[in-house]
Amino acid sequence: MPPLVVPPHQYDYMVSNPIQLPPLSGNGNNYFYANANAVAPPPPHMGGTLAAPVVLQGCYMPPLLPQCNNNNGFYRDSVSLPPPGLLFNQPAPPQPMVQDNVNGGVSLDLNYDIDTMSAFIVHNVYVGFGIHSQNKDSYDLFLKGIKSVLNATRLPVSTIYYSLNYLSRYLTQNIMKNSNPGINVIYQNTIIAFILGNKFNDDKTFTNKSWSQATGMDLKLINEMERNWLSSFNYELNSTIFLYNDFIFSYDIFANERKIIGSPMISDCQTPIQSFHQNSTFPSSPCYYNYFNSPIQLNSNSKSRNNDFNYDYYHFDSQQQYYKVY
Amino acid sequence: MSSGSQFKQLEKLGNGTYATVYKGLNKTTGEFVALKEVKLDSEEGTPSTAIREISLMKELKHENIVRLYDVIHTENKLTLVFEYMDKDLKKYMDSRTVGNAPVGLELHLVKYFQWQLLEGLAFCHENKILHRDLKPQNLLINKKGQLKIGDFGLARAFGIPVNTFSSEVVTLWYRAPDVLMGSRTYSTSIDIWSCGCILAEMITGKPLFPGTNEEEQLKLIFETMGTPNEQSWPGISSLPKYNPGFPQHLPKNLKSILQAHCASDLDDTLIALLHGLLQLNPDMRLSAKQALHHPWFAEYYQQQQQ
Repeated sequence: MPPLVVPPHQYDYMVSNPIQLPPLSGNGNNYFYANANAVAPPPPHMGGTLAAPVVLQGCYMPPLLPQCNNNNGFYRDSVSLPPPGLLFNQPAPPQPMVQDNVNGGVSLDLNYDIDTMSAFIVHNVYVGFGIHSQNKDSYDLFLKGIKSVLNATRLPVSTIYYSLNYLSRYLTQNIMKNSNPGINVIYQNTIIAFILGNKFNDDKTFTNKSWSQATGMDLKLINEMERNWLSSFNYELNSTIFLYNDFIFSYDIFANERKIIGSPMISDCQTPIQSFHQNSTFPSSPCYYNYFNSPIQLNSNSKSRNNDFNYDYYHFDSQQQYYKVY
Repeated sequence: MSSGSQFKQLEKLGNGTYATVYKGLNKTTGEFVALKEVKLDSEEGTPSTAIREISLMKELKHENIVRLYDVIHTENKLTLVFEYMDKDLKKYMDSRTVGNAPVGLELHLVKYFQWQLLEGLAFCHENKILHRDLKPQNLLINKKGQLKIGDFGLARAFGIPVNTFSSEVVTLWYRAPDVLMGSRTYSTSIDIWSCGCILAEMITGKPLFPGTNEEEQLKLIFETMGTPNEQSWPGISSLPKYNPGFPQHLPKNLKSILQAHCASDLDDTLIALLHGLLQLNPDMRLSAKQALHHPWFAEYYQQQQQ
């Protein structure tokens, strides 16, 4: 299976010379959305039939994905199957860029470190989805996927922050009925946020087909989700209260802490968080601290839906200087 | 959001940069509208031009900016419903051509149009939006003499720091010299240069700098405005396409150049305003707000203050 990630210098030619995607597993790569007009399936505990999408007020909801306790077999693949875009053997290593070779990306000079920025994005997306314990494999996979997307697209900082802001807005407006979205859903929605950020904010934009090729997401799915996001936003991509400087500030703290700790913090992140849940005490992890510095608003829905959620977290949260998007 | 059936599609008005525009009738209100139809391509997804035009124009509610009423998204096309305007400034000027000789507009009309253009543009800039494609074709007028800025397909928000501006913006004839030399750090001054070119074009009826390529475009600009250097424009030599070997020209007399194609007498305050808009160094160009306070517009702002 060839690596899916397209080296940046090939990016310009992707439309004319499409990169052959690896054959996907028999499940299909868009099995979530196989039938866009399907009626919402009954929740898994009632016994579903097919993993059809749930259409709720014009926005696509992923089917209710079991995280670990669903053994009815209907969704068994969703736990182990990585997002399509992550089906590569080897992620493209962040190569030192030769100036001549970066014309495929949006920015010639990136003013961030791709590893740190990827970790920051993953961190914010997780906060946005209200996820505080996540399977390490999916976490690493997601991180890899984000890294490869940044390598291929070289999105500027402003576009990334626009995108994180859109994601936060989307999650706030479209309350995720399942408080435990699978990594596919998280990944797909993050990519749509990037697409809209790129189309709104950058002069160099990629077609959805290029995005499909770079991420492995099905083109039809991208088009559908893009439309749903746009109508959910009422096409207003510029009118959010967008605390850009808070993202800058939050990123600086995040990057500094990574430097001080000297380890890939984000992959350690789940450990303190999990222990936090188990012991109901505040871990001393900087990662935990960092949650309060994300400009992304926590998915409010997850507050009430997670039975095992520690409400002290939010209590504490409200006393901290927590940067909210709204 | 309204449905497509609310509008009756009438005659075709023209082809935009990425869409076809039809005249339409709102069956409910009996009002005419302009229907801009964007064909959706499955590979591209929703075009970024449409995404920007919609999201930026939705915010810009001003009497000198074409109003976007609604967006209708169907399976394979996106229809933008705009306020109807009779024609664009280019067509209007063309319609006045006598034989092959272009004819400028009456100066009182030039002033009224330019005032409205700057009012609309000042509003864009206040709202942190660059238009980046100002030209007579994108200025729509109606029988009441109103002028409104349209086509925001190349527009961009600049509220947050950006380092990836493209220098391939603005139709060549209206493109500022700093952008022609590859500047990516431009701001509102990019639109002001276009306003200067449009003002001159309204006066004479013909484009001020009708270059056929970037090189010729710069040559035409320098021949009339003089060749800039580090003294007149500090920092110019660091622009990507700056060439120290640009042929040297002294600035020509703009007044006599324009007067040759204008029947009425051009006064010096008008020429002074033109110089303020057509400063080679972008930092020296007037802002839209400053231009509105220029003595040439005294009759308008005095009226406003009363």
